[in-house]
Amino acid sequence: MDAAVTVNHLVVDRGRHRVLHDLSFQIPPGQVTGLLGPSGSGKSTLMRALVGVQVVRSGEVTVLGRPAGSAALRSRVGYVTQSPSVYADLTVRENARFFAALYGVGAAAADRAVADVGLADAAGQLVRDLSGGQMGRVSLACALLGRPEVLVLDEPTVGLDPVLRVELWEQFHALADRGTTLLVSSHVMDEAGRCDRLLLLREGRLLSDSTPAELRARTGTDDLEEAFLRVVREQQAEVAA
Amino acid sequence: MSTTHPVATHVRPHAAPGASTLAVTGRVLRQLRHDPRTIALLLVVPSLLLALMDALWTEQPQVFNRVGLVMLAIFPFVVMFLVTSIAMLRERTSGTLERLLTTPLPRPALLLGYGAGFGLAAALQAAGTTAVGFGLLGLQTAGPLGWVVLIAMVDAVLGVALGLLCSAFARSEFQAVQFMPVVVLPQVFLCGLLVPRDQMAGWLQAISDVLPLTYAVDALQEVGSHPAATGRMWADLAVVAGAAVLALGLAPAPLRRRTSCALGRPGRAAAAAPGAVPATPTPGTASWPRPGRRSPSAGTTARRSGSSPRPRGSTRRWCTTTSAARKSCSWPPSRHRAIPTSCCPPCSRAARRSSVRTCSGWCSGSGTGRAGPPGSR
Repeated sequence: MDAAVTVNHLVVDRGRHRVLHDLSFQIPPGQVTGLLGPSGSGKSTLMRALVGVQVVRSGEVTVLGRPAGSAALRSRVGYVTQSPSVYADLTVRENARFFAALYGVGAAAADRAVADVGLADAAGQLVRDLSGGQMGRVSLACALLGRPEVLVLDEPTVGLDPVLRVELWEQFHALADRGTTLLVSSHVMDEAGRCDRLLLLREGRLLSDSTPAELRARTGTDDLEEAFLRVVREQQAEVAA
Repeated sequence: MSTTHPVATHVRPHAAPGASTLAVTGRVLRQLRHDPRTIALLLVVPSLLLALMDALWTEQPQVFNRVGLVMLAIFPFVVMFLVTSIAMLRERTSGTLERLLTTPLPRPALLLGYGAGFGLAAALQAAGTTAVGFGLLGLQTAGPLGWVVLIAMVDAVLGVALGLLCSAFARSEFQAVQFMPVVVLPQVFLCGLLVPRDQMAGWLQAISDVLPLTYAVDALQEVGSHPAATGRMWADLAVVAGAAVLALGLAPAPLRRRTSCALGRPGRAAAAAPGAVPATPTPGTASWPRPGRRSPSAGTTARRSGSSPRPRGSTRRWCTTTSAARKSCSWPPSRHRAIPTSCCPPCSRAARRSSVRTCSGWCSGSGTGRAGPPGSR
């Protein structure tokens, strides 16, 4: 099996501060990989490096066999930023149709994407009149339009009600079943159980790269939040030793 | 698990370049449509200002005729400069620009789309102001009105192009607005409106000669005094259009994606097999890797300065600092061959200072942020 994303010794500095410390991991294709960690742990920076909009200090990031950010990847990799990056002064439908035109798919596909994220009723509304969660879904709909092979989602479920969150996760798995590789970041540990694979990030270091089951087995607890804490303590003990 | 992925063979949908330009133009116009107050301001304000000038010079209609005509060049230029630079800056601060850069949209198509969208708005504005000026306020020209509108439009496109270019250098709305007096006002002062150009000091005339607004004003004055289009008017118009094209041509460069050299250069990084990546300094060992340790021959004899720094055999593994940058480095040449540039403190500092591309070896495989100025591609 070929990895969809390979990260080799990635180091990223922001100003004088080192945000990512020598990260190396692979993301298998056709799965939902969760990137979990507290805020400030470098999740967004790592995602930016994967889509090639982050200046890196050193290291290598390969996506679908090409260096991250290369022109050939732009229609194959979708990226949804943490803050909804859509046009607030356009309607939901206009936003989707604009991005549909950029990806060369029709208006029908745009309307379908809007319906897919549960915004069919709000399609004619200006984005600035929507709630934060709805804005995030507009952003997601626009990213889905390109039918990306790799989809990088930065905290897509923040501020969503539980029902919608479950629906979105079902949609992620439906996408994965069709072969899309998803990397979903979250700082909510109860979402970890929904991932096929988990990357735990803390203070720019990778604490764990495993399936949820492996993590539970390794830490001897069913609660993933507790498991995360145990991994952190383990690492602190190692550093102290 | 291998690290390569078969390149997808199926053809992905792609918007044609023309189509994506049109998409951007449509989007810009739709955004304007949802903002009726801006449209009203765009259309009404220049006419009101023109009426104010008319009132100012009621007793001297010949002065109003001269100044009012020149204003038809200045209004669209100033307004479009401001509107466009703010619009582009909003695109940057809202994160949509970064998003657009991850789509297949080419940067020139983005700028052309902007230029066309706001250019169209400017055409409406120019037509409105001209209609008010000539219909209600009694402006008069020897030449036909159509030329006046055409010149005002081209001039507005120049404003759009300069606005796009300048917004790339602004990080905040405050800065963007400050560019207006920097870029626009000197052009207004020196275009021949306040003091006729032939009465200016020689050096001021020389500056005036290189400012594009001068030519737009000159073209309008030609229309004002000649019943038919003159060769000089066409030449003036060509200069204004040329300046707009030049500004649009320069604008994509600062819009680059924020990528390091290695990540942004597919050929290089793809060429290096993952296995060839030398071990980075491991997180535990914070010290620099010892020069010479990996390449026993490297430390023994210093090659004469200026010789190829690339060692025989293992090309692309070690620092291949350019000789220019290496001269400023306090480390002997032999040490460079044994380490990646990013690990050579003097070199990486020199690289930052001079923004010389220092490293073509190691960074080809693993990427060093020190190899060029941030964002270099």
